[in-house]
Amino acid sequence: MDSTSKIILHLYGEHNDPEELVELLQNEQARLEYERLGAVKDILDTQEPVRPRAEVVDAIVAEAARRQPARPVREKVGDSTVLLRQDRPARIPVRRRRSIPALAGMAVTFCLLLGLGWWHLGNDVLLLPDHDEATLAADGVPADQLELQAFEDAELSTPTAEELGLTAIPSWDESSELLRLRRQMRYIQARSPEENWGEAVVPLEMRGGGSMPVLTSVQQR
Amino acid sequence: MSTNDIQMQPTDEELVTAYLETNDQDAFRTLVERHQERIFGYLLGMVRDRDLAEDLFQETFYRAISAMQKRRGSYSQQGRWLGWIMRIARNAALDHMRTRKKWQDVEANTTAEDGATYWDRLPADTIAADEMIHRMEQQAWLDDMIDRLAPEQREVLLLRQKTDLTFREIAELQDVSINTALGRMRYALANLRKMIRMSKKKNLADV
Repeated sequence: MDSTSKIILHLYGEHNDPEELVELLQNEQARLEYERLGAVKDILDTQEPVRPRAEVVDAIVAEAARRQPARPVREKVGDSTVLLRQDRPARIPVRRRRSIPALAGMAVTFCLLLGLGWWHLGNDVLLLPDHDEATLAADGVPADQLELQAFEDAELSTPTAEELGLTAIPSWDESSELLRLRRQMRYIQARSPEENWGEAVVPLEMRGGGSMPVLTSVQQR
Repeated sequence: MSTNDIQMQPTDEELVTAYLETNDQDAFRTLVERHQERIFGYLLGMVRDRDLAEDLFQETFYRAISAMQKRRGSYSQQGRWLGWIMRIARNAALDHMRTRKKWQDVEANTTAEDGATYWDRLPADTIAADEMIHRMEQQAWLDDMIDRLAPEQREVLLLRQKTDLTFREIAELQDVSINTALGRMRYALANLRKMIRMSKKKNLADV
């Protein structure tokens, strides 16, 4: 920054370092510049301040009052200031319109869920059939088998792990699941009385009545 | 005014907050009255027409109200409020001068019947016959001198003399470096000095 700029800053009080000014004014040319510019500033400072008419200021303040700020208003209540939130202006409710594809998608999803539920319910019925006599009789189960089934059901109503021989089963295995499987086996067994369970395994070829298995050629098969 | 009174006066930013948050009209009036001489002095110096300067003064505050309420532009309560509103005042003045230039380009240099151009008549219009007392003469005479300065020099001089903005703030307002603003002020003062000396010599010669 040159000396004249510094002089101007000193003249307008923006540099408040008296030592710098003294140093500056030691230079004759700078001192003359300071005096000349200072004289002009003194003349300018004699200018009287000017103001707009009072009506102009009133009009501005009235306009400011008219354009009320849309901000939270604080009101003095007793010793404290309470923030009063201005009411939100009323708005027309906007109804969302769902598109036809979205509605169709929702309907399909609902139907799928319904179908899945129905199917799952049907499977459960198949896997865990009722063992009442009427059902079994309707299925063509003989009476003696029904009695046996009833006896076993009573026996199995509160079985213990020892009774079931499940002591060797790991702890993570669910006994209820085993019970369900056992019941299912009984049910299947009851529905197939002509088969003797527990007999030695007989090849299918001998089931026709022969005592020895018959070898058949590849062509005959 | 006592020292306590000065200390009790709210800052510009506090007045703005009072107006915006509690719609305090008195706070806003205080703000306008506090800075009216600075803003109006600058505008009058720029346009040299009292009615026009009042219109621009009003326009400045209308724009400021809109900006403070975020209707137009924005006002962040950081920095000096005076510097912020002076930018608005300056824009209002420049907008007017641009508009005036558009339709006065042709007319400005047209010589009238009495041989005077628009620019010759302009200063005379501002001095009413009944205001020819010495002090007012002096004022008008000085205004004429200032009006003859180059626009950039005149604006820096008006901003520094009338509004009390610092040279740094003026530089920011004009988007120039502080050295440029100081250089313009230097030429403004030097040219004024020359004009004053010439004017005095002329007056002495007339006498």
